[in-house]
Amino acid sequence: MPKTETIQVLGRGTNVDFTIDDSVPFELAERSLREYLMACRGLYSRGTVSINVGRRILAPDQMSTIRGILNQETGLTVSRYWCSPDVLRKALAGPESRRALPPPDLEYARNPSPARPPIVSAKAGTPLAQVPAAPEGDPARHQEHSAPVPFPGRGGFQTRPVQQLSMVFPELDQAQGDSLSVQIPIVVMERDSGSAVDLEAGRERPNGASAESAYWGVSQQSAMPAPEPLTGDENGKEGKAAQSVKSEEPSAEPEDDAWPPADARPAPNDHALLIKHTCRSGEVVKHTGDVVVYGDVNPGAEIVAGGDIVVLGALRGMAHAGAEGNSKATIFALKLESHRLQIGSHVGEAPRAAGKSKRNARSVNPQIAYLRRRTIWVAPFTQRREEYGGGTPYEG
Amino acid sequence: MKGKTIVITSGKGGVGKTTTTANIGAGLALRGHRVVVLDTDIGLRNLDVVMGLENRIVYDLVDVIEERCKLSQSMIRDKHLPELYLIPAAQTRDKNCINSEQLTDLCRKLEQEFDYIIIDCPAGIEQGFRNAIGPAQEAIIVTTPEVSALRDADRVIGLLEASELHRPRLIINRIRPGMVKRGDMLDKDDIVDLLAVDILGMVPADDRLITATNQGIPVIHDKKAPSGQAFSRITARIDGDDVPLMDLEPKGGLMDRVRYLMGINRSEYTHA
Ligand SMILES: Nc1ncnc2c1ncn2[C@@H]1O[C@H](COP(=O)(O)OP(=O)(O)O)[C@@H](O)[C@H]1O
Ligand SMILES: [Mg+2]
Repeated sequence: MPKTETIQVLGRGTNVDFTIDDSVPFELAERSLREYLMACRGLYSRGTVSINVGRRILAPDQMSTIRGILNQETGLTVSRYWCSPDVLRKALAGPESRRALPPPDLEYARNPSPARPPIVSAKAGTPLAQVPAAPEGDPARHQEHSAPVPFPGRGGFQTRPVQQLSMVFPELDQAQGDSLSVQIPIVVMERDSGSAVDLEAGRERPNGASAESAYWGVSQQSAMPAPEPLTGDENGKEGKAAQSVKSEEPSAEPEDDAWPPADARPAPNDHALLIKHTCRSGEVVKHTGDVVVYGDVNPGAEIVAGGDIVVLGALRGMAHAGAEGNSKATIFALKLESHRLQIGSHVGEAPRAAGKSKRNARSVNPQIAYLRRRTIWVAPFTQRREEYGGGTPYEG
Repeated sequence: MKGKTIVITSGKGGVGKTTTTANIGAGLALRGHRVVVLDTDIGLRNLDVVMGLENRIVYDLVDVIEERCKLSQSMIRDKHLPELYLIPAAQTRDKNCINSEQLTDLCRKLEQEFDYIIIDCPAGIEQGFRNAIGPAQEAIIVTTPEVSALRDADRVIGLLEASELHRPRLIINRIRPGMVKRGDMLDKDDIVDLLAVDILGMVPADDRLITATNQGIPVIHDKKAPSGQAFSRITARIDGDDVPLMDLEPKGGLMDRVRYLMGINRSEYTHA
């Protein structure tokens, strides 16, 4: 029986057990599974298998991917998934994490840190606020683990919109004639403290960068664990922490998991484009910065933005964010109903079932599309970091 | 007296622009207005056929514009309604032989004498479309509940807005209430949600309309036809009456309901 290192198969009569190595990235596991099944085509016909995923947390869509692969390649049905109980508990607590689970931190899960004051203001030029008080997590506890917990669990690292999505738009730039450029208005996110930021806050920012850019800069490290203790301004420690995250993350694009990504936005002097009408079929909007549409983007319309796309209405047309190659760009819409999205050079198509218009035409369902590991994901936008991940893959 | 010029447009062909023009024209005339309907579908004229007037054509729109005849000579009086006139399109020319200014001049003249000038716009968004929307003060979009028609309607609404024809109103034609009820056809709310325009009315798919069209009598004269009733309501709304919008629903006796449930379309009709 052919064997990959990643997939272990234990067969006892009709009872087949697939064990998937929990230390490899999901794609690799996926590919290995496919390859394995290809290699032993004809060996399996019908029946049920159980999948042991070890310490890995599988998102629902990943479960269905695995189920799909098995079903498609062999006709096997997955009867159950095995994983360790703490993994399960964590998975239920937050749909975010999709990598191997670090050593369990049950105490933290039971007792998430309280909300802390935001340390970054959305307004450019506003200095960072105070370093927040250290959370209840005491350093000693965390020293047990050599690596920080790369699990952005509840209470740790959070995002929320400034002023509940009521964005502040400065005056229209009259000099621009009828073009609708506005000055950088679209800083939506403000973040509750996270360890990476805390460390950063104590540091000098180079050449007087605004709080905003510093914010975006530091956020690169947001893949860092939520409950990482606030060990102060010790930069060396921070570096080590970041490194250990990296080494633990064998993904091809480890920084993909960082959120909000450092380069999700255009350069600070780039303008955003505010469109105050419904974009109808045939209308093509191309802009190097972010694009905000105060209305719908209808089928047949096309928005191409160098930065992010925010649609305060229904997005049903084509949207291409990060068109100049920025794979960290996101697409947000109050109703995200496009069948095809593009971020950077990646294209995603809505799964067949999704996008079917709901009965209630009036209701909104804010969603955000982001790129992770070459796949566009569309997730509910619930204003909170930990509910931000996962979602539905829009396969390219 | 100052009349109003309304263009009936859609983008897509075959959705019912010509039918709508004929019926709105007749409807407004029935309400006592002086009305001209203007066929700008040069090369593919058929408003005259729908109105049963093709045998009376002597001069056409291009003849007036190129001053081969007087305006009054090109106007054909309707068979049924003395206050309704048709200016037919030329059949042997193409859309580029007139321009928007010429048509606008013509309509300004007509507005002196008539209450309503209803323009039947050709399909597409090229010269013929530009000509037709040039003179209009108001636009009515006709669509069917199909994604292709909606896509074109959306495009046209965008173009109208770019041409300063804001707030076009929408007629949804050929609705099959049974299909809507079964969820097999887009319903009014889906469509209005997408197009984001005001709705002027809904016209059910109706066999009687086809019969009437073939006889050259606008269906609005058929008091029993659900589509005719729908056009009466639409006309009243254009004329400023506050007629509530009703959801299309199959109605009739038990047999009708049974037929409707079985998907036999004959009397799948309604009030709208
Ligand atoms: N409500 C309706 N029910 C049934 N048939 C219709 C209806 N509306 C239009 N039709 C038919 O559809 C065809 C196209 O209509 P027409 O008015 O000529 O479209 P257009 O002018 O937009 O090309 C005609 O044969 C007409 O009889
Ligand atoms: Mg026609």
